[in-house]
Amino acid sequence: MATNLQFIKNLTPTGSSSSLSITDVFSAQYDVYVVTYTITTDSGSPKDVHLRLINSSDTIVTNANYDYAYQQMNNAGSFTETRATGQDKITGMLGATDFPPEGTAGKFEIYNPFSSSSYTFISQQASNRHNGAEAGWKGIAVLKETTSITGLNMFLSSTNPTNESYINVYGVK
Amino acid sequence: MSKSNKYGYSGVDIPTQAFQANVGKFDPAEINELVQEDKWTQYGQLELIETQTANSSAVDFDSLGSYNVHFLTYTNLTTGTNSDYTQIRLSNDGGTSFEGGTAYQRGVQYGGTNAGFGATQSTGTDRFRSLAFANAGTPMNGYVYFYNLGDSTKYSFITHQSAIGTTYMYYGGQIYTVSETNNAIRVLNNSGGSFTDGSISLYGIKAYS
Repeated sequence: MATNLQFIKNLTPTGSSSSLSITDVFSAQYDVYVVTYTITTDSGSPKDVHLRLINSSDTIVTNANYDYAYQQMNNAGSFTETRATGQDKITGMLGATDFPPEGTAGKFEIYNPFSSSSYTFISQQASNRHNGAEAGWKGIAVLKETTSITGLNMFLSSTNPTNESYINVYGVK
Repeated sequence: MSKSNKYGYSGVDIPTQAFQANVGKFDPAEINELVQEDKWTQYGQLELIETQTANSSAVDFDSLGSYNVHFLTYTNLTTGTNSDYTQIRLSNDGGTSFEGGTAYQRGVQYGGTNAGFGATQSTGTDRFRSLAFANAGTPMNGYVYFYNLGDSTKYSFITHQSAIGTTYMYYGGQIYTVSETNNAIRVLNNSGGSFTDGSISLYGIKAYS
């Protein structure tokens, strides 16, 4: 059997929705997944790319059970730290996006999403440029539910990711 | 679908083939054809492009293939100069020359077991800097993800992390703020001196639409 990184699914936005859902990507076949992404948008503001998970009923989990912490390493000025517990989404951790050629690009790992006996953990890293300012991003998050997770939802609060964006999901063997 | 004799079918509509959706009975020539068209299901999307031994002042990768995301690892990378930083430059002409100027930007965090944590940042410099840092003979290990190198409509982004023998870590994100196709990568040192040991591997992370 071939090993290492195994492609599962791609999503390229149509440009007409602020919300991007990828369903039926996490299963018993893998414990660890890698998601690569580039998000550009049709408006410079609002800019933050948020993340939620999708359960086995294909419902986006909006319970206030997300904890996260991340560091924003700005190319000028002080680095900033963001952390929160008991949130209904992972707010802004995937980076701040903008019109192309700016935007945010990165990857995150998801651990044990399909398990119904453990929490779902995420580690993340990104690089972004918004309105002329660049930053590196590094973060962690957890969904403190033993819900079986089968998909993910990336979204902006109102503006739409352009069709130059993409999300790719891989399983790690 | 089309009518032809193919994939074990004869005189009926032939199923459309795609990655993760191959239907029929395939002979070797048909498999080769589908592989060429990226329509054959074969797992292993972390595809090794090249591994090089680091024994010169610049290690160039000038055949990047067609990937949205590249992954570079370096193992026991060693420099012959004290206080040397590992760096990267991009090329838009296949490695004939490498871009300088002031279009590289970075925000990088570092930290060590025997020293404090700190920041290194820039709004305009001539290369991706501060990927790793070591004295002569100290091995550096780490990775770099490259995003959108081959997309002429986007900037080129990287994320990276290193673990260094002394023990230090560097991690962060950097951008080359020119919208162009970059088709070669150079790994080099701040000192201009040679790497004395180690290996560097470049992979493409294949995707299907």
